[in-house]
Amino acid sequence: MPAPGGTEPVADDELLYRRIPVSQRWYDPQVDPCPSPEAFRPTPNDATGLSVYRGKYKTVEEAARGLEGKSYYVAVLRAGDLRANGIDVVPRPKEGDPGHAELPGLTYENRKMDKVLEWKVLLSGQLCLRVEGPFPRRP
Amino acid sequence: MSTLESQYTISGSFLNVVQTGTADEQTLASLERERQEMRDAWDAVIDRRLIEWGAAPSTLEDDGIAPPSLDVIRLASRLVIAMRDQGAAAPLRVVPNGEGGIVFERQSGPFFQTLEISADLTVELASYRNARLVSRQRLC
Repeated sequence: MPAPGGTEPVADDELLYRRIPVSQRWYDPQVDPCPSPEAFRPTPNDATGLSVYRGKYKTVEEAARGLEGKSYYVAVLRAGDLRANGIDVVPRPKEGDPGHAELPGLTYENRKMDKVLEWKVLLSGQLCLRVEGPFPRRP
Repeated sequence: MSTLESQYTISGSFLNVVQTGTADEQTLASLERERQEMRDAWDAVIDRRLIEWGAAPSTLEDDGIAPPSLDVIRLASRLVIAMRDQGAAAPLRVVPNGEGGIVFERQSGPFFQTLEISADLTVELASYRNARLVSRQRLC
């Protein structure tokens, strides 16, 4: 049973979900089975780390819920694979969203550093287990 | 950072010409077809990506994501035409970078390359081998 609030450490065998907007074309299975590294570029919303969702708290469909009227894919990752490659994962629950977690090594501020560029390519090309979706837009 | 590692894909037809020193009509036709396919792929980048983004940038808006500006799209179009006319291999993907720029991506075996136009119109080329950065240079 998860600890209240989702503050317990992320276990190595936990699956993590990263939402990918369909509109950006960062994933196209007809072009490449892997998503673009841009799917892992931190945005201004990722000030303390790249946002992901913990599979123990959310389904893939729930993780795919973004802005109204938009469709999303979901990239599936495994926490232990990330850590084995030097990418840390920490729980960062939000109010009403205990499944929120972050990769603190990838932030908006350091997004142009060499190591972050490498991690983006690693996440997209080697650590992404699969991509699910697209999930239909919310009404 | 090591120097840029070149990685070019040589087509079967071109390789045949190099190896045999001859080029029959069939080989020449094949080379012409490959050249045309490459041009068509570059043209598709303009027709199906850049024009679409320029006409309706709001389709790219999302939480924390900014679409490319018209200036970035114009520069990307000029680069596409230049690379097409030089016979460069078509990219794997051309995508927005999420903060007002555009990224061209190319993959060849363990090599991965990005040519990124940033929102401030600077252009950077980065090359990776097995997800390790081997070269990164600002072009303008």
